[in-house]
Amino acid sequence: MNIITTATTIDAIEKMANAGATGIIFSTPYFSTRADHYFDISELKNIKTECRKYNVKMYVSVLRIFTDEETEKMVNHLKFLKNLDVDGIYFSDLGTLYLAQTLNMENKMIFNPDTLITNSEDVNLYLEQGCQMITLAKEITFDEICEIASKSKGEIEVIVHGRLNMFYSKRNLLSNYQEHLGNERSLKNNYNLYLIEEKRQDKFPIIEDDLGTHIFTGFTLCSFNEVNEIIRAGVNNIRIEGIFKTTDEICEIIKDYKSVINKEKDAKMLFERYYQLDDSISTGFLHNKTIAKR
Amino acid sequence: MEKVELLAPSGDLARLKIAVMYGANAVYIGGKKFSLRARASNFEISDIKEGVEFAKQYNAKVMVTVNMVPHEEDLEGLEEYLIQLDEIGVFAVICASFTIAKTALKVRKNMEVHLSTQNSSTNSSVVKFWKNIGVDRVVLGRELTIEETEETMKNVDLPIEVFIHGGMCSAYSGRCTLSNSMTARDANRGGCAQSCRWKYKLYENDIVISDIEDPFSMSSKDLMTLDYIPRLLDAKVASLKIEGRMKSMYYIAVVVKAYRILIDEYYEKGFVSPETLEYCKKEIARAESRLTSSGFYGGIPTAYGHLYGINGAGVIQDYVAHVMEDSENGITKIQVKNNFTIDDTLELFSHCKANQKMDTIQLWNEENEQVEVANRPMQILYLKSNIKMHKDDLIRKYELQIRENVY
Repeated sequence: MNIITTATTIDAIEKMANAGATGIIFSTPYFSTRADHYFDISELKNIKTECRKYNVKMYVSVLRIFTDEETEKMVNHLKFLKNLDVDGIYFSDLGTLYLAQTLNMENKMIFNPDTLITNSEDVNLYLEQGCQMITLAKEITFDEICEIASKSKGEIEVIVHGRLNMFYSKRNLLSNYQEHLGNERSLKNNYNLYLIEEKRQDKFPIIEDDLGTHIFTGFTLCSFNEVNEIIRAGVNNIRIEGIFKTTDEICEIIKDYKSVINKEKDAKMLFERYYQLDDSISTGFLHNKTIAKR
Repeated sequence: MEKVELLAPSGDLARLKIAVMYGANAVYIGGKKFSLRARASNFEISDIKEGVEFAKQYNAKVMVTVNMVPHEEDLEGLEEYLIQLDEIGVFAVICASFTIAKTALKVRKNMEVHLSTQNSSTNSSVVKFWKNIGVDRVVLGRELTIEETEETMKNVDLPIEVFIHGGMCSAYSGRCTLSNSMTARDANRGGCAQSCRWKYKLYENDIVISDIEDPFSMSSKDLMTLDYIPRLLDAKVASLKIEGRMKSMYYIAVVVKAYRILIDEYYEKGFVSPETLEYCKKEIARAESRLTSSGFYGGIPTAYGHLYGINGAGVIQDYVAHVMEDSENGITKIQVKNNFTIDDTLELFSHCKANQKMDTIQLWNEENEQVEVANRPMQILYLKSNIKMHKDDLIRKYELQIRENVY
């Protein structure tokens, strides 16, 4: 079982590995987005060494949706990551996959297009393009995850825990609003912001970074009750989204998933305990089917 | 020289015909299956066939959106549906899902397969990816500046379609599930509730930092690109696409005709005169239900590109009647669309000639009684004026509706 999460410091690698993480995603400026820490590209080599030391897979986030002017930078970065021999590269722009194919490194590529992977046939077609792994959309149900897993012909990843991004715009929505109001204070890279719609109660975290604006779910997904069946259905890779969480919190969550998987702790009781501490804890879309048409 | 395709939306057969008559080279419609914009996807196969045959008379094409992002359960009957579309002469299907595109490529004999803007394709590398798969055309994402569009065009060898007009997602199209989360309606399966246009309070550490009177919103102004058409034509894009399968017949007619005039003048003269540009802008402003901006063409949108304090779209009431039959002896059979009186100054908006202001008019109802007020929508009336009108011309108020009452 591959348990993947995100890290904000190099020291976190050891802690997370000890907690049971087997893969960690690292973000860098320019190429990554929606992260709570960006490592300098010069740090990646050191990170690689640390990851090897603790037997953790090193994944790099290259989620940028790019333009032709930026192609050369993308190519050079992909070459660099190939030489560094990272274990996997998350991407969301199929242009990135095309570039990787021309560099014969498509086997490093993990397709993570947020919303677009909702059935097994799409999964299999992208796997046929050489991708190492496909990340499923988060807005599908538990039953759909299990069905897709049973029909997939390769590695899929399911996000089982954390705040889920549900909106990505290239627009600088917070800066624009501040400009509209005539406020000079920048809200860029401010992680303490959230939205509440005028007729609702949910708090949606919102972040504007260099690559645009992200809005997250009002709930924090928690899959203790479902994780074992998800694994049994054929999912070998689960992700715990680390954003808005400290390293220690992430390590606790990883340990708890490990103990549920190893049947050392009762899933229901754990879910209840998490919910007592944070009422945003939810099963999200797992048992909450969206309506296809209105 | 291969002329650009002007591609218009249609929510039903009546609008399809209007789009073609007012100058669209192609229309796109939603079938009942596998399509987004559920409320505007009403076309049965027989309707699509009728649309294809009508369009053929005008040398125009019909495309069908098959652009949902399907879940396991949604894929049933896909092959049969695509084969039917191909057989009745649909020019292309517009797909977002790899599976749907691949299936269409497998079963089609003549039909083209286009890749939807839902995939947010913003570079030539992704176009090359889809070319390798066998796709015939890629619709670019709406996030490119005019310079980036030109650069992309230099590096591709596949026909490219770009959006030139209409409503815009605030997010990268397809990368948004606000609607799923807030209303359980699946944005990528036809249920988008346009939650991005709602009003939100913005908090920082539990303290409200948005303006109470002027809350936060993600809502985008509509796209309007008359200024950029010459550069898009020079860049050799294959198709210029107007958004709006939910939009009204009047909107479609006005927007299509304005872009038609501008495009034709550019091909004819090699430039667009300031007078024509001004005229087309004024025309389009009459049909707008939201304020417009140039989207990303002029750079990443600033505050000016957004709408604050406005939830939905406005209602246009300029369009007062539809011409049902060609005029005979100065009398024209019309159908009422919005209120007007014989004291209103009216204007003919025609698919085959320039706009004409009407002198005094007289009205009779079907009982041959003279009336002064037309206030029952869908009512048939007979109108006497100094102007000869043609079937499917539109009649509107001559004076521009005060825009503050629209937005």
